[in-house]
Amino acid sequence: MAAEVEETLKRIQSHRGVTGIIVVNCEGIPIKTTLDNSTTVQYASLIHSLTAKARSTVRDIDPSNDLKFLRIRSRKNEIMCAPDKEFLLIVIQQDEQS
Amino acid sequence: MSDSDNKEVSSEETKGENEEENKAETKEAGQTEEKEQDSSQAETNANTNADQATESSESKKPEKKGSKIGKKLGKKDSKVFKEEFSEVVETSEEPNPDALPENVFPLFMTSKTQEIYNCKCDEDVTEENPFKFIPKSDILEDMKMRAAVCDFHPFKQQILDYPGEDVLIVYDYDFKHGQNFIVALTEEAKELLLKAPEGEEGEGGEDGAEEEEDDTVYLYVPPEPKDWVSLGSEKEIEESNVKELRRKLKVSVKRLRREFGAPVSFADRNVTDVKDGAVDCTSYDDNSFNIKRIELDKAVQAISEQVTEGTQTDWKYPRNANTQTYPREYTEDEQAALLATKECGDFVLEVAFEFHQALQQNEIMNVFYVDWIHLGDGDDVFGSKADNHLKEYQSFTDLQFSKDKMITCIQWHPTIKGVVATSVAEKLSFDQRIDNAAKVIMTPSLILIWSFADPIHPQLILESPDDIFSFAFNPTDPNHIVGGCLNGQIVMWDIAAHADRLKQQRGSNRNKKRTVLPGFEDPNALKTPIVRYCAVSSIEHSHKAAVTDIQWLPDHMQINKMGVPQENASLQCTQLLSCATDHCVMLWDTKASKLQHTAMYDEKRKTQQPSGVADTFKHLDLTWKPILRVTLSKSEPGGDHAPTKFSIQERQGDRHALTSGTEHREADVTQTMQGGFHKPSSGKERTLQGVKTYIYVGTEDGEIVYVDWMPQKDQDTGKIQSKLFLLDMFYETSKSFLIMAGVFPPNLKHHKLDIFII
Repeated sequence: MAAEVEETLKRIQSHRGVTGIIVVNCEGIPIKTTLDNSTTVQYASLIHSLTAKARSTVRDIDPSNDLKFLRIRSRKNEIMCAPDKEFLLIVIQQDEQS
Repeated sequence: MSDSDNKEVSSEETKGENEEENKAETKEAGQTEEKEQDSSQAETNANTNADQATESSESKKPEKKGSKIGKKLGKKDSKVFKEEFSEVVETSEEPNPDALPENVFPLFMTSKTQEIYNCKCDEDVTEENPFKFIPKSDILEDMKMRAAVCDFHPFKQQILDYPGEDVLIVYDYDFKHGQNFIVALTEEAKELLLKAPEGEEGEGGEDGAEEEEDDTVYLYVPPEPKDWVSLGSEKEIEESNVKELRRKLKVSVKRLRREFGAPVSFADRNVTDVKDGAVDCTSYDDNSFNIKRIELDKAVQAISEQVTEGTQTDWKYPRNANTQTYPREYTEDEQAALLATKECGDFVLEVAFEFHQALQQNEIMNVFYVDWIHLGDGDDVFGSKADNHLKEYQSFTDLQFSKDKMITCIQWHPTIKGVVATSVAEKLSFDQRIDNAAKVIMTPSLILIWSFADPIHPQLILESPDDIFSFAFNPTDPNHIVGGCLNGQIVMWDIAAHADRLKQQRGSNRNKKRTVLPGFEDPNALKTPIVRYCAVSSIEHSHKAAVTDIQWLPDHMQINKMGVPQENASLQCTQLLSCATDHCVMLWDTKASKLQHTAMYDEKRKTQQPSGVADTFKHLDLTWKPILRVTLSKSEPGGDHAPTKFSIQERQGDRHALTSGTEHREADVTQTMQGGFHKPSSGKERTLQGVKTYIYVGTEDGEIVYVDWMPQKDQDTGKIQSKLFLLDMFYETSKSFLIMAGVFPPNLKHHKLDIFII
């Protein structure tokens, strides 16, 4: 993998509270992950389908629009995902303040 | 005989009768119609033998009758009776079938006779059953009784001669033979009569047949129509016949021609106006109606019972009962390949910025934090959550002494509030120190004692021969301070003289405020006093490396040379432990030994301390030796543990070790007051049983070891060594860390250790 990409991911991971990063392809199969396998697979499939649903919702409302970024804030952590035509990047950040 | 006579007579009579008959036609016209007919028949039959036969037959009858007559009346009255009987005889000359057989005579029976013999007409005997048997004896009796009145009287003789018992009487309904009864006087006649009704015709027929057979000429006799007897049927016919009783009536109804086809107007008529406007024909139970309904049509409907049924479809085709999924995964190579693609790289770089934004936002503030709820939090007095942030309260800097210096150790004053002592040292690395070793130390190594009231001027300055890296106040006597130097020496100070100065906390202007009489001013009042150390340890026996940690032993215990913890009767901290990076932990005792004690008094007068220096620890100066030395050696070769911090179980102030033993000796108060440092240990202190003799030591390498200061005899080598144990659990994680502080947990039962690793 390119060093640049690697470094970018490292930078993201070095943020305070980040617990994991997952790169998923268009079919929902994880490509790169910093978590264990079972968690990765679960996150990949669930977030992939949710992102697809969110994207279809946005496009149904306005066909010229498209989903850019999806943030799911829960009590314990926040899941951020950026969808793309072919890939999906998922970052999970722990909530330290609460 | 008589019969033949009678025959003749009768034949004559018959002839005569015939003549008479012919004569008497006119007289007996009405009566003898039949007779004429009969006679005509007889005449017709005269030509033939039948005549004879008939005659004979006729003669038979008349014979019988004649005989009757003959017997009864005699010949005298024969005419009278002839006439009477001629009719009878004539009547007896009726057709052959009716001719009586021999000895059969007609008999008239009066009603009384009928009663007697029970042969009433139409009652006992009928036309159908004309036979009646009368017992002979009865007849005889009757004859005796009634004599001539009896009907059977004419036949008296014959009845007497009757051989049989019963006499046959035949009812003659039609009076065929002249009377209503016929009597058979002989058995033969009886037989004949019995047969006669049956075969009367038959007899007659037979006779006739015989006669006819005898005669070859057949004579067709048309059947005589019988007289019609009315039985009432003609009445029915009469009734049913339609008879015109009156002339037919003719009714003509006409209507005006112009009214044909004319419109008709109908009018309503109230039903009740007219009497017969409405005719009700209500139904009523007609009793005469007796038609039984045998067959009745009724409606039938079949209703099925309600049945609860269920259906269940058969799954003919396979369907999923359970599904279990496995996620699709890529192999390592595939993953790497995908990651290496340009698209992936571009994608990551593209979205990274947004992630950074989002992550930083979360770091900066919690957007979901509701200020409103937490608005009143700061106003609470008690129980409010503690502020985690450390705020700088006060800073102590001395331009002269602590500028550009490194603070190596800081301790609170045990008793005086708001007094802090810090040891300052040169900020030089090891190499630099070596370089500067030859030079004279520009600034002396100091311990500065600050008071919170005066952040600029330290209250006291303690001077030491070398940079202090660790020092400690004596908990029981805060005027004694011990410190460990860079070179491994242990230094002691006594600041008793300046103790009151430290107690003055408020305001450095206090001295100014005091009214000072001129002339009695203290020149040193404003100047910070410098206290020189009063004792140093022997260089040879002290540590070879910088003392990293130094601690006073708790006042309730003291350790003897063998490492056995003993009770400290004086309850004063007299011993201290020090550790240095020369892999040693040393135990020092500030009390003078016996030899020293005695020698001290001798020398005391001789030598004098430099001014300002207390002579408390004079006995230790330059000769101080550690009582016990514990070497921290590693099991494997390659250097021993270099301790940086240590901790022991016993705590200053925790006196429970004293009570854990069997005896409890009260502290000797008098000893404390005198200062137990001068008094040597009596050597009779009891051993503290409950004291753990382990020291937990943190090393430079990040290991934590615990060593027993009480040397035990090693069985293999015979050496007296201290056993050392390594706490493995911390080995891995803390390998890269330097242990700077260690606290021995008060409760060793759990063997837990609170380690603060920086």
